[in-house]
Formats: sequence, structure tokens, C-alpha cells
Amino acid sequence: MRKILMPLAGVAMLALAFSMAVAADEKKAGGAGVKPGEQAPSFSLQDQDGKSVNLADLAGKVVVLEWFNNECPFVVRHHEEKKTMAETSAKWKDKDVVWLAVNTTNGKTNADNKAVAGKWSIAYPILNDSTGEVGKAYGAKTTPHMFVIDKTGKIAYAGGIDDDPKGDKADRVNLVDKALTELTSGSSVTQPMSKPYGCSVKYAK
Amino acid sequence: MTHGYHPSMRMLAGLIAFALFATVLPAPARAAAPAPADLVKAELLADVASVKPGQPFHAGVLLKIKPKWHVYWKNPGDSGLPTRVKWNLPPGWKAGELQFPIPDRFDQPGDVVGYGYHDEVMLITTLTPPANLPAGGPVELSADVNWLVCEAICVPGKAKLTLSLPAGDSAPTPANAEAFATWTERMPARGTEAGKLAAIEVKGTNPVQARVRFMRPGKDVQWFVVPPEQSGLENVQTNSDGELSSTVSFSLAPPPASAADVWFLVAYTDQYGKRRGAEFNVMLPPPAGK
Repeated sequence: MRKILMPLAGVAMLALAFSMAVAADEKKAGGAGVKPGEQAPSFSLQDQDGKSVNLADLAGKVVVLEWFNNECPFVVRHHEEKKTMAETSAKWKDKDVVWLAVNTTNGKTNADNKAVAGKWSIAYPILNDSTGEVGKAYGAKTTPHMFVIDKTGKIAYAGGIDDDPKGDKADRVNLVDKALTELTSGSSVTQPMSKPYGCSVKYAK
Repeated sequence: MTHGYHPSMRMLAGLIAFALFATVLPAPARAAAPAPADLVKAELLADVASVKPGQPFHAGVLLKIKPKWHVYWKNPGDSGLPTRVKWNLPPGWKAGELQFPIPDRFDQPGDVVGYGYHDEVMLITTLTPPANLPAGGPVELSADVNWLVCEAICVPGKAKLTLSLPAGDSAPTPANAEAFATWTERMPARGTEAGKLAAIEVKGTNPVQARVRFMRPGKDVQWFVVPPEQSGLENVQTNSDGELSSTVSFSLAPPPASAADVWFLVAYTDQYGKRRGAEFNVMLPPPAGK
């Protein structure tokens, strides 16, 4: 009897230790990310061609971050069906606004990002954040989750691309376009935050 | 709250976990997007075999979900979309609010929390035919159902479900009793029924703190909060003190501009091992200065 019980107790202890490790990790992963008005976390990530893009080099410009995963139907909606991302980024391209997609999806490579940039004719960098570090620093929850960074490096807008999670509104408001319009005309952003929507960011475990 | 354990224990546990993983998953699975029809099978059921004029009955949308995949509760959490049902009913019919069973919580990497269902769920509503419903001819009921089903990827799905039932003046015979009994059991209590299980007290507008006191001991307490439509939940903290009381606190982001409707569902396991839920609707006053 004792011979059977001993290994069982050992397994139970290990299981307990393991569940504690998981609990501690979840705790550590927590955090609400950045909020409007706060300094945008710095990063340096590679684009689909392996070129480094460093946020610090973009000081003095407005930067838009688009959390990206081409396998997510919400991202597909705004790239294939509605062209929201292509149209909005093109509209602001020559107005000192830098648009960057960030792909935090676990396991994605520069080559994957290059392939989808070609497929969808994406005219801006797709940054590789497959480790999830930058996604966690910003608190990116969904694809797409949008952040607008002002010329001084502060978060000016965080949230959804528009106010239409279900994709059925006739008169949806493009909240990133609205924030960029206000920001570049020198006025304050009237809606600096909205609830982001989409698929969960598929972070590396 | 901190957990003390030796780092080597953690490493060993990690190795064991890795070994388990390696055994369970023979090859890294990265399948192509599956066809939506293989992921969720949807069916429309009624708890009666025939319809009597003016007499309400229950209709259920039963979703059978591919193992490991999930669909979403009425508040999907940080991501996802709620499952939606739109009824197409003949003139004079009325549909009640769609009821969602107590959901599961999914903790995904990166602190992304979701609420929903694995394997199977039935969403139930009360349908009321008009009192002047003509007898004889069958009534045709239909529902447009939309869902988002996710695992490693998400796939949207939809179905137009129909059900044809004879109408007559005789008392309807029950139908699908087992399915309705199973899923009615899993619906949270509301109103006076909820009040028999627990009492709620809410403080603050942002952050918000809520406390329930259970009438009987409750274990494994989970809170599910439905924020106002435009707001998300942040910094959600829950804490149970003993088995008679539990609290939740959270911030609404962005904060609501006016008075806001919030639903609190508290789920727990009672002393007989049964999972129960009590749902409370609270109107938060407008934020200060508005």
C-alpha cells in the first residue's frame, strides 16, 4: 500500500507545483497595457523584409499601430471586404502619418508577413512580434486593436478601428480616421478610447 | 497573493508539462481553415409538439460545437462576438429575451479573457403565439443565427433554422424534454429567484465594486460582467472571503458618458455540488460631473 501511495503523493505534489507556476505566470502576464495620454512603449521590430523599424526613429511623426493576424475574420473584413486599412492608411500617407501593422501571432515569420503583404497589396510594414513582447507592452487584446501615437510619443487613441464590431452598421464611424483628423488639425482627440474588438491576439504560450 | 515554491520545482513541473504535451500532440498541428459547417451544427427545437393560441412555450437554438472550439456568451470578453439569434415570426407573435446559460471562462495567453461555451450550448427564449392564431395549419418559425467559433483561429458561421409546428386548441404535448431540462437547469436565476440565492451591493461608478452575499455557502465563485455596450472591462479583480461572500471590482474603459446598465452574473457551486448562477441588473449613476 505504501509503495503505491508514495509515487501518487509525489505526482500530486508536482501537479500542485505546476498549477502554482501557471497561476504565477498568469498573474505576471496581467496588466491593462497603455492608456491614452501615457508614453507609448518603445520597440524595435523587423518588417517583412527583415528591416528594423524603431519607434524612436519616428519621433515627430504620428504613428498608427494596427494589430494584425491575417487568419482573423475581423482583419479579413477590413483588408479584403471593406479595404478600411488600405484606404485609411493611403489617405494619411503623405501627411506625416506612419502606419505600421504588428503581427503578434504565435509562430508567424517575416516570410509569412511578406506573403500576406503581397496577397493583400499592403503598402506599409508588417512588423514581426511573434514573441508577444510588444503586444503585451501595449496591452493589445484583439486583431485589429488600433493605437495612434502623437508626435510627442504619447498614446492619442486606443481601441477599435471603428464602432462596428458586428460589421453590419450602415453609418459606421472610422475612429482612427477621426482621431487622425483631430490630431493633425491641432485639436484634441474627442474619443481617445473605444472598446477594441476582434479575435484574441494569439500570443505565444 | 504570492505563491512560494522552489524554482527547481517549477522547472521540473515545466519539463513534465512539456513531456505530457509532447506525448499528447504527435505532430505540430497547423491545419488549413476548416469548413464552417464542420465546426458548429445548429438546430431549432421547441418544448412543445404543437402550439396553442396565446400560450407561451420555449424555443431553443442548440449549437453542437466541434471539440476544443468555442462560441461566445452575450459578453464575449476581451475578444470575439456574441452569438446572435434573430427570430422571424408570423404576425402577432412575440419573442422574449434570449437567455444564455452560465458560460465558461477561457484564460488565453497575454491576459486575454473570453466567456463562452465548448461542446454544446442551447440558447432559450419564450415565444408567445397570438390569441387569435388560426387552428389547424402548421406555423412556420424561423431564426437567423450568427456565431463566431474560435480555437487557434476564428471562423464566422451562420444558419437559417426553421421549425414547423401544428396549431390547435388542445393542450400541447411536451417535446424535447431532456434538452430543455438540461439547459434550463444551467440558466442563471434572475429577479426574485436570484434574490433567493444571493444579495448584491454595488459601490462606485468607475472603478465599480460589487459584493454578493450568498444565502447558502458557495464555492468556486466566478463573476461574469456585462458592461454597457461601448465599454470594455479593465483591471478585473475577484476575491472570495469564505463561502458566503465574494467581491468583484473593475474599471469601465472607456467610461460610460451617462447612466449605464450593467449585468452581474455570479456563478458558484452549492453545497450539493450543483453549479448555480444568479444574475443582477444594476443601473450605475452617471459619472461625476456629467
